[in-house]
Amino acid sequence: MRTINSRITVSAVTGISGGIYLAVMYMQPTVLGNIGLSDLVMRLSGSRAPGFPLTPVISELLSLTLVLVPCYVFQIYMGIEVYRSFCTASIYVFSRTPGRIRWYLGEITGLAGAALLFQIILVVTAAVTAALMYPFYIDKAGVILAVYHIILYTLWLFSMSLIINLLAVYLGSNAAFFVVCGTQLIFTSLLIFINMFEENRPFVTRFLNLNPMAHLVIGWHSSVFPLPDKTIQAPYEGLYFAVSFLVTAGTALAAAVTGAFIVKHHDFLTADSEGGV
Amino acid sequence: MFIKTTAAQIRFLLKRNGAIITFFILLAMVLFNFISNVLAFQGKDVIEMYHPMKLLLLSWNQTYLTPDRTLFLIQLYPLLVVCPAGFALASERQTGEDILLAAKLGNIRYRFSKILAAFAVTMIVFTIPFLIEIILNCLAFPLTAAGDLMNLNCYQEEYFRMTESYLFTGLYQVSPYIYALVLTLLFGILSGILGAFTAAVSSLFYIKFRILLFLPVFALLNVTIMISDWFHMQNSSVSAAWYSYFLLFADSKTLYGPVFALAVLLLILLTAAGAYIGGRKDCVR
Repeated sequence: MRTINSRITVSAVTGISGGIYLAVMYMQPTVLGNIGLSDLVMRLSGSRAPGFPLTPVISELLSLTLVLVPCYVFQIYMGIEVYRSFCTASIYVFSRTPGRIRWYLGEITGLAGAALLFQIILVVTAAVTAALMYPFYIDKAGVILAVYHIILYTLWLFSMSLIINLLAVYLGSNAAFFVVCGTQLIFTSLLIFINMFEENRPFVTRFLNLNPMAHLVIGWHSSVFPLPDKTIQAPYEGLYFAVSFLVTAGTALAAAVTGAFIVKHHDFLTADSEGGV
Repeated sequence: MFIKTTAAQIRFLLKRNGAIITFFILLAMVLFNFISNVLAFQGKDVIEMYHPMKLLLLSWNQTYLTPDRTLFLIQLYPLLVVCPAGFALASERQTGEDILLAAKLGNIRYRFSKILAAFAVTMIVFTIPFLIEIILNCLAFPLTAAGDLMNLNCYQEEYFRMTESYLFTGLYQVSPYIYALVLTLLFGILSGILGAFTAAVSSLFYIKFRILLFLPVFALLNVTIMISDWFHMQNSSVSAAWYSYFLLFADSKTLYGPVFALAVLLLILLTAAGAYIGGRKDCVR
């Protein structure tokens, strides 16, 4: 019960504070003086305005990292949720829980729920704050994009948080976070090559699909459905929502399966890896 | 006793994985930058060649030609700066070694020596690779080259305005080489202060999971960028972003040196306060 309450609290606090921060810093009205839900959702992944998607130059990629700061803070807190059971109380925990896989499935369900709750609260808080600051309207494309955004980011956050938890079992929480967050930042920095090789369209398409962080930029996606496709007006071809869902869901599934294997076979009767020796 | 203990702790921390891995990551980035520059500019005439110090990894001027490498450094820096020694106090607390050392030295003295050691180790790790790059660039590139990566003529008014906006612009005008050396040392000192600040936070609060120690510096550095973006939204040219003050040849916006110095002083005071208040607490948990 305490774990569920703490996860809800962390999700709610980071979601609300993140939503307010993103709305205040990044939500600007259009030339018509209002802001739509579709515009808001695209700005939550780095777009500057309707018709002005994220440009992969140094200043805007640094801004993208800033936009993702609430997600990184979430990863810091949730990166130890499963791992804490592997620490000094592991013998106590697992002597009372012989069905480790069942325990593990319960834990990752909680983690996924926390990620989903965090994203919903973040988007809703950003929308409410933007509505309080400027005239705000909800468009049909915005609802579709908001759902896409929540699904993509929930899967991404769940994957990254779980990977931090699993790596922490072997490396300690700080090293695990450094590896996972560092990898995400490196892939974000690599997006600058899109700008450097913009003329080479096949390269850009391949690069967008291979770079995991590109799948988080809503403003770069094309859709098979005309309404979101027309709203986004992606500057680059070849990055589809379906592919992004597959990539993020595949990563989440791979992390979950690997974690089940680790939990089942890892021997806990060793020194606490947080001891730092 | 205090100096002896601090020296021993510095030697100990320098041998730890965090310091070694961070050093080699920075060295790898520096060498990658150097080798890329050598390959890109080999055979170039000295008249067309850029100033060797503007090709450094720490040079903001380099972003006008190859922004990717400096972007890597800026993105990873908030994580890297904590790694060499920021976790030192928290680790010893978790193993109970802090009680042994506090019993020998006194709690306050132990914490101050640990935080000073964290400062020294982080400073060493964040200075040596970049000093190596300065030496390599002086050996590999012509010292008389004076080009700017914005491809501005050094007689153009825009060039003067740009160089006047550098922090310590007077030093740059005396010698860009001395400017680069001094600012590299300053970069190391500032990194040391951030490492010490993280250790001070762990002195003040009992933190079971070291992952949480990334938060203070990560939040602090990103808040400076947020403040800078806010100024930009108000159509102001003031820059508060940390990389505008930490990097060499940063010319993008108006820099306020005295305000920056005050902010650094405040950080030092907070670090010292964290060590003192943490030292007044009981060791027994």
